[in-house]
Amino acid sequence: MVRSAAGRGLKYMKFLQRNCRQVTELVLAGEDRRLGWVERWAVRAHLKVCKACPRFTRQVALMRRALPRWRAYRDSGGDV
Amino acid sequence: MPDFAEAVQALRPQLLRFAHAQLRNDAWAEDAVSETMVAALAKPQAFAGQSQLKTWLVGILKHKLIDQIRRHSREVSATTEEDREDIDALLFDETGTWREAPAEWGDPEAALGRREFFEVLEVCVDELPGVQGRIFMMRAWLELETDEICKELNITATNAWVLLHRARLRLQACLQERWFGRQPAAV
Repeated sequence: MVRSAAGRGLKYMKFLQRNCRQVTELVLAGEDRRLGWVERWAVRAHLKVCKACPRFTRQVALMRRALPRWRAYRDSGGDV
Repeated sequence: MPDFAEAVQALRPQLLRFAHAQLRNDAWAEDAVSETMVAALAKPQAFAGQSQLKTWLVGILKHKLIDQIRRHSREVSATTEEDREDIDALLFDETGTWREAPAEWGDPEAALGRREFFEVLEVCVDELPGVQGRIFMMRAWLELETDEICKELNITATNAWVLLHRARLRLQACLQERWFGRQPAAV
């Protein structure tokens, strides 16, 4: 049983700890389903301490904006 | 209206290319396009010039493609070698850390405002392999929900998510290689 505040903090960190591979998976899953709150907190915690994953997340955000426009481009024959 | 029929016929090759990209089957693609042509030629008054002819035809085609997918829902989900390829293992080491950090793509509008970007994106989508290509198109182009895709392709939700995940990773890698990696360095 962990009693100290530091100990609780550590436990809390472990509980939310994810590596880049796992965070990438969650970020992409978020494009197709709503993430649970633990997943969202885990992603948020990781993005605060990682340099690479925020870039990946911005790439995903760009794709999210690009796809509806791509659909329009494809269907109309080339208008952006 | 012979002009109308001619204009519709002229778009047939493009419709066939779209149908094939979605269905990955020559016979089904032919059927979907033929049904589209029949439906369009039977009701020229439905077009009434309210949009571009191509946009109108593609709208009909999408419905016919969904019909085809439903009709063949039992036969279409055999995954390929490329579907099974573990893209994540290429991107991450054993500890789950990026082997090479993703690049900064910069201001989204710089890309999204350019027609050439969408040409590249189109090529990247068309090159998505196997079932992941079909699933991605069903999601992003036909705008079907994931549970409907699972039902029509007779696969589990977990499977669909894995394939969509791999499709999206491939797409981003393709855009990095063919677009963002070739642009002047992002700020």
